[in-house]
Amino acid sequence: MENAEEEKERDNTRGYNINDNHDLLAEILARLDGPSLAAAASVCRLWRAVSHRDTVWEALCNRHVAADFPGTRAVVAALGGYRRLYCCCVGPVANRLAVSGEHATTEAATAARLSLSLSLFSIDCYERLGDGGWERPSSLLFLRSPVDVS
Amino acid sequence: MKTEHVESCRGGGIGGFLPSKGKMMAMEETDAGMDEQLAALGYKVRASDMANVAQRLEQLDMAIGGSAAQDDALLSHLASDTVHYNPSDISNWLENMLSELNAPPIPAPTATHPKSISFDFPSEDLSSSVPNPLDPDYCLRSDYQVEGRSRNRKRIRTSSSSSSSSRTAAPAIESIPAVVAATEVSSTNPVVVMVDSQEAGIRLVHALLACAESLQQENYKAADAILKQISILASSQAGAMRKVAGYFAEALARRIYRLHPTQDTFLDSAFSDILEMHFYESCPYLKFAHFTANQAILEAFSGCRRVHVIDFGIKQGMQWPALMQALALRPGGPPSFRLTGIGPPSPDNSNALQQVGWKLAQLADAIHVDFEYRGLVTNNLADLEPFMLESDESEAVAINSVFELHNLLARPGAIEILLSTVRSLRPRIMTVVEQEANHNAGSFLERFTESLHYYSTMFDSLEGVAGGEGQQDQVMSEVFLGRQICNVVACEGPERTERHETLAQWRVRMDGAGLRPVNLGSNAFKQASMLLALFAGGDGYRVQENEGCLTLGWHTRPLIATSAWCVAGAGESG
Repeated sequence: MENAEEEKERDNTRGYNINDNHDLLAEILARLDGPSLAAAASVCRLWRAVSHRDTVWEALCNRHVAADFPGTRAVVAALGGYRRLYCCCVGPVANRLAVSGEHATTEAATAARLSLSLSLFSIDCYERLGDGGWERPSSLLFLRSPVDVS
Repeated sequence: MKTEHVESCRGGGIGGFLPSKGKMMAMEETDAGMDEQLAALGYKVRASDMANVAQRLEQLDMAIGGSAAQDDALLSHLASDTVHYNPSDISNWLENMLSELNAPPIPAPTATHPKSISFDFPSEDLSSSVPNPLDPDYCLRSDYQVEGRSRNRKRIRTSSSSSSSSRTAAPAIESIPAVVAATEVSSTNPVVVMVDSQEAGIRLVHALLACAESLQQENYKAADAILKQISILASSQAGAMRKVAGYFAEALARRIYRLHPTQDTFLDSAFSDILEMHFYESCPYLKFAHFTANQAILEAFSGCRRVHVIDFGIKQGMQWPALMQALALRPGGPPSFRLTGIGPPSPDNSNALQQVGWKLAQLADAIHVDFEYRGLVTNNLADLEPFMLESDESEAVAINSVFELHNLLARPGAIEILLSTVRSLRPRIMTVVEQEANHNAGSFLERFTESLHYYSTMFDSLEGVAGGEGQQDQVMSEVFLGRQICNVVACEGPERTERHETLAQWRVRMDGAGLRPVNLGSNAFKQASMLLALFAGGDGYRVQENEGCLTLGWHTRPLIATSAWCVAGAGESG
């Protein structure tokens, strides 16, 4: 009958709710770039939780810097996680180098970026250990200060 | 061409006469008798006199256009107050003008001054013996332009054009030699001198050098008098030049009055650590040093299962997290890593070295690197004996020294002892980072000139740091460098520890001690270049390769150099 058919159609068109499958949501969010991912984290509590998963940020980082070394994930996790790595190091490094015109195209270039980012990240982690007299870690502040593009 | 230059002079009076000079220059080879073309313009010049007149006109142009280009007072004086007789007779008119300009306005009693210190430094004097800070490649990013030609007989004039600071100007025209004797005059006639910022910069440099020269001749009274001038001139500058001049002036004052910095070594080293941290954060020099040294050490350690690093100046241990991370990620897994940190005794029984070790151990634990730490306390690196370092045969040793070796040059023989200790440890690699400058030369004046050049470039490179946090870092870094300046200029003998030497000089020393150079690879160069690209002032910094060593500099001037060494005759390192 018409009503039953309409109802069935409506059920079909109501569609599939992405919020029902968190892993799928994570897969999709993993394809976003940094700013978009941050925006996605502001949508709702669920999306915030999913987008804070380190695997999502790991995928983002790996798009910028090649992760050849098998132990990288463990080391990064120990040093503070991929999200912090991206926010403190990989993101600003990529932005700063893009401003000065360098784009990482070759494997060697991305490997160099990775090693530089990890070095800076380890210094940041070291500063956060114990409070040796500085209020907050600041050795990476030079990455955050505004770039003069005049 | 001189024509354009002359026409830019303010004050209409003179300008009208001189543009025709251009035509005269072109017509020097015309016929005898009165020059016809000029006669048509109303000027009477004998053709035979032409060359002479042309030369005089050049002199006049230099005299007017040189110092007084912006001086309205002089030009208006020349234009309106001077009586010109028969200007169409150019040669006589020129005579009058030149004699007018060359007469010193105030008779300066320079005869009373026993040793005449020549401020009118013809640039030949400077360039022959010492590096000339007025070289074209010495550019400061401040207001003044460095001009290549020599300036004779410069005068401080009142300038009605706007200067950086506004003061009531008592119009007074003095020449610099008069200032020395004018200290007696100053009480009756308070002379406030306004200076044009461009010229003041060059005068400032000259005054600093003059003060140094009189100190070299042990003429303390003259040096003191010049010092007062320096502070006036310095306050007319802006930015890096002002700060550098300030620190050098303070250092000169300390030298004159023999004021030694208070010898509270404990507080000193704690304060100095804090300053160094800010220096670390605000500019790339220390990071460059650490990253390039780490790369060399990493490459030297490839394939070794047990490694031992000896750090001659552990400070806060900022160099080692990056190395540990790189070791953790190397193919084949991390080696077992042993670190010996050497440092000065710490105040109030707080064991700073152990705290650093503890922090590093925490990090090593997090990234699963087998780590062992030992701290050694000593004030003098030459006191180190090989047995203290407890190295055994199976481990690969690397020695790291960042800005530590030059301190040993203050005591004769110390560096040789240390280098022979290094040899006996048979390290795979020794990484050395030092300032690329010769601040240990024979005479005080040479040292002063060289350090003026060096620290001006350093301060200039710090100027790019912007933002709130950055400002504080910049100021602290400047204080950090200021203490070095004070040590280089004001101290002598064993107190003068900042005895920087150039890479070439270190090569000779290392060679003499039986160490041969190891080339830093291109990986280090690439990492360093990428690091510099991240800094805000990125385009000013330059990484250069110098026979296997890397130098970091600001524009054309290298400032610090990283080099690597191993024992000559040993097997190839990694």
